[in-house]
Amino acid sequence: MNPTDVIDSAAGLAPGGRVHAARRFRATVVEATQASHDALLFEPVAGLSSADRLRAAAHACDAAGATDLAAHYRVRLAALPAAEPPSAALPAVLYFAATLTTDPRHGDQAAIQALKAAGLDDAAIVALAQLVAFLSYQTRVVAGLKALQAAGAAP
Amino acid sequence: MSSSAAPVIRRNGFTNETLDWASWLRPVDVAQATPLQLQVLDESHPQSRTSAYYLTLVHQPLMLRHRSAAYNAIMYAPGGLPRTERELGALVVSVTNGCVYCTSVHAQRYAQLARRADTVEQVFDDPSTAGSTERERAIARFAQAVTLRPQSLSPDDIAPLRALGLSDEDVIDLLHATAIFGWANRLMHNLGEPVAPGGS
Repeated sequence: MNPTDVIDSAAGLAPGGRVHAARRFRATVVEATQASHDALLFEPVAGLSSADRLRAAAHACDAAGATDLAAHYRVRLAALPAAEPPSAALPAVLYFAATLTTDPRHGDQAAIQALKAAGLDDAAIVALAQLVAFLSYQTRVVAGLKALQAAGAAP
Repeated sequence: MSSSAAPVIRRNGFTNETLDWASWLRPVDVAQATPLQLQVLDESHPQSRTSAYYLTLVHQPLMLRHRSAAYNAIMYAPGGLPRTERELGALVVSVTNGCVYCTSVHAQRYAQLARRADTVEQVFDDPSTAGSTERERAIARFAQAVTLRPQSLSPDDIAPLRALGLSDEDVIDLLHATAIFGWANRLMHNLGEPVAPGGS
């Protein structure tokens, strides 16, 4: 296991620190969270490139106000050895990413149909929905850990 | 099993009755599933081979595998914050996000663990003031803050939990349990919809 992962980096947690150590009480969660990140962005998905997933992730984090993680996804996009150019489906993908991030109450079958119309098949839609839903978890974990860090050690 | 003797609670469009769920995508046909898909289904949930939700998510088996590992550790692992209180967090988030299906499941789980349902009625009515004890009210308020204004979480949101005796590890357990329902609710509420039992 790496001593720091994406959540630690975004939350500013360093090995040896109080909150970094407390997180490791749930080592399974730490590992599965990082493995989710890696699979959601980098497992091959027909019709949905890693580059478009990183673009969608940065866009969703912007919509969430999570500047730390938005920067992370832009760095990873820039670091792709051969980033695929934006696909024709990207506008629909970005729209879905932003609305699912900011308006989870608006469950809407039309939003799924719009992705199908843009050319995504069911397996690609599952990948995109899992990614965007995961980001809502990841941005909240980072924000909460920052607050816990800022609170200082318990008296 | 879960539809035992618990009194029915229906308020504000939410219910603690057992619901089914219908997918807006084509679930994977178990008979056509790959060995990896079957393995991940069995890792995820005891009933996943007959669940439209899991059969939809298993279109991406490795993504589902890691999600299930995170979810099951967050909600079921021993030690740390009592499971009843993780379920209360899940229930508050599900109501706040308007996920009727998730709400029904976690209203049942919370009531089974807590052996009472008064807090369920309060959460259905208004999660921002719900809770039968000071500790429950603090947990509900934190769950709402994580859900509705995560980017303004601050030490002021941690202090009430610490005042009730939560350790850093307990606070992280509650943070995980509320944050992962930001994930779960978005899937359940945006890839399909609840239906009356036997409806699909």
